[in-house]
Amino acid sequence: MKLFKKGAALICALLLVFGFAGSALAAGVDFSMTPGTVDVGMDFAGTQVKVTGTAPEGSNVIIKATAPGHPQGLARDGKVSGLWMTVETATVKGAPGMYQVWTSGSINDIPAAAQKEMGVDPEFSAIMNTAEVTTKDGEKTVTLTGDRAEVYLKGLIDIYKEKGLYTINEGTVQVNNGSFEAVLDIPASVPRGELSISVYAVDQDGTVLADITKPLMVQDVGLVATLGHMAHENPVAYGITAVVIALATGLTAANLFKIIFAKIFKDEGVSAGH
Amino acid sequence: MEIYLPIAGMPVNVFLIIGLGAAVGVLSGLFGVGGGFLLTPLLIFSGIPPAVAAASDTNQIVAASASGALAHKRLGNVDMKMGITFLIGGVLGGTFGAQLVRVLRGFGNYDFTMKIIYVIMLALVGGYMLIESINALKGTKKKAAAPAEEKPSGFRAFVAKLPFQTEFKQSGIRTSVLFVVGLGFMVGCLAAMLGVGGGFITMPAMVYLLGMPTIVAIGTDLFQIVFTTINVTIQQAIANHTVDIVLAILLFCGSTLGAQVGARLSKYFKGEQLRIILAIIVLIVMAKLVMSLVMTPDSLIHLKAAGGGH
Repeated sequence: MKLFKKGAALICALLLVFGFAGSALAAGVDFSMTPGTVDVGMDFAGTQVKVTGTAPEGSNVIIKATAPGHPQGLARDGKVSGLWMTVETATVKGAPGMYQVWTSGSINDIPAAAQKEMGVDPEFSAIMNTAEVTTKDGEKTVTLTGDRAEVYLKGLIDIYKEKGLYTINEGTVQVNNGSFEAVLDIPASVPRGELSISVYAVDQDGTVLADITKPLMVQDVGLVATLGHMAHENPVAYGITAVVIALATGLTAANLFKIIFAKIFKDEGVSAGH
Repeated sequence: MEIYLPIAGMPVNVFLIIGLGAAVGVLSGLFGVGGGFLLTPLLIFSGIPPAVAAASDTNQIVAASASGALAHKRLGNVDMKMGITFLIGGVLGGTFGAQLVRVLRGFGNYDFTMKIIYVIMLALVGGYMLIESINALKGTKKKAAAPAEEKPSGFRAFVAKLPFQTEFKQSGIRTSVLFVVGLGFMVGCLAAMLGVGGGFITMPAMVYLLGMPTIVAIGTDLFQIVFTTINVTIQQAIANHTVDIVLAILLFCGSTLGAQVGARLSKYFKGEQLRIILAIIVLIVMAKLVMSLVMTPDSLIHLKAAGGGH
């Protein structure tokens, strides 16, 4: 019995120590997301994730969602004999696959140093400095610099902006008495894998008071997962499945029409003519 | 209502896709032509990545042509020797075409190449149909038909000189195996590059160049289309991961309904008038493709190979 009491006391002491340490790490900012994962199923057309949390009273709240950047193949068009065609290809490495920011106030009110500390970048210019652009010169891989690299980086940012992957949403975080709330629009083209959702609390002088980062999983589910996985992992089986489904659907439809037309028009229907 | 296409990796409006399939299906039923050559460009205009549009369209042609081919086989309209000879080329061409798509996507120039081929093809098909139907309406059909008769006879003489001449009893013709395999290769390659069945090439070639009876040409063409598109679907799945089953089924649902409506409507319209309308539609699609090639694009940078991956 004595041993049990000692053990319980030890556990309580440990819980207290780690409990304090944990809250010290979070330092006044915490949040939760609903839903906790983004499921890409057959009805997926983008989704909304509600973020609610607490932040020091009077602070501005900034939420940032980023996805790791996979190498992205790009093509540059040029005019050849009056026609627009690809004249050069390049690969961009290190540009985030998603970069969205939601703020409670104006982003311009935050001093540059704080913006840099948080990696919040209204012009997406940090990407210009960190991403690498390479092209093939025969067998050799050449790193592009200056204007030649900038064309691709600006082009990629434009593509991501158009897909809703790179956005800055000012004034979209509602702050009220030490709590905050925001609805994050996750576009249909969201990359699969783990997104990083970071929340920053910034005081009126532009000092970052606290920050916390949590993962948000984006995953294929149901038929999207089954077909997507099969198409990439077992393409032969996928191709054969596609053919079998097409043949079965085609023949079933033709027989259905025969039955229907026999009843309505008293004939056997017509061939699709393909 | 939106549905997410697992391979294209994007949501689409179900009614838009079924509607496109139905519209092309009506035309296909009205005119007795396959609609592949219109469906792929229309899908591209709707924002589907070109490689996914072509490969998925090929997949839906499997569904659309299977019952017709079976019916013609039962009626004895398929020249099996011709069909299998043609398919030797068709399977080789389709396999080569899917690899060509892969290489061109690697260079970022697949979209450009397919558009150029489409423009040439649609200009020829649309232009020929327009001139032919205008002449027919003017009552000058005989004059228009005269050069068409001269051309094949010269061409037939050339084909007659090719080696491996063989008898195709059911079609009642004698021609070179090389020519048939070559034609099959070209059609297979186009099926992979453009997502078409290739009837607009096979039919005139079989009827005018080879002199096959029209009904046997239709049966044999449908027979080869089923197997050529089956091969292309599998090859595209392997080489490019661009076959979207969901897109193909939606398109088929539209096209099969449309084709039934079109075929029934065709009884109430005059052939020449209808052909002028189809010719104009084909030429409009062609003009839109030309515009996309000559107009300065909104952005000079684009993804190298959109679709078919995550």
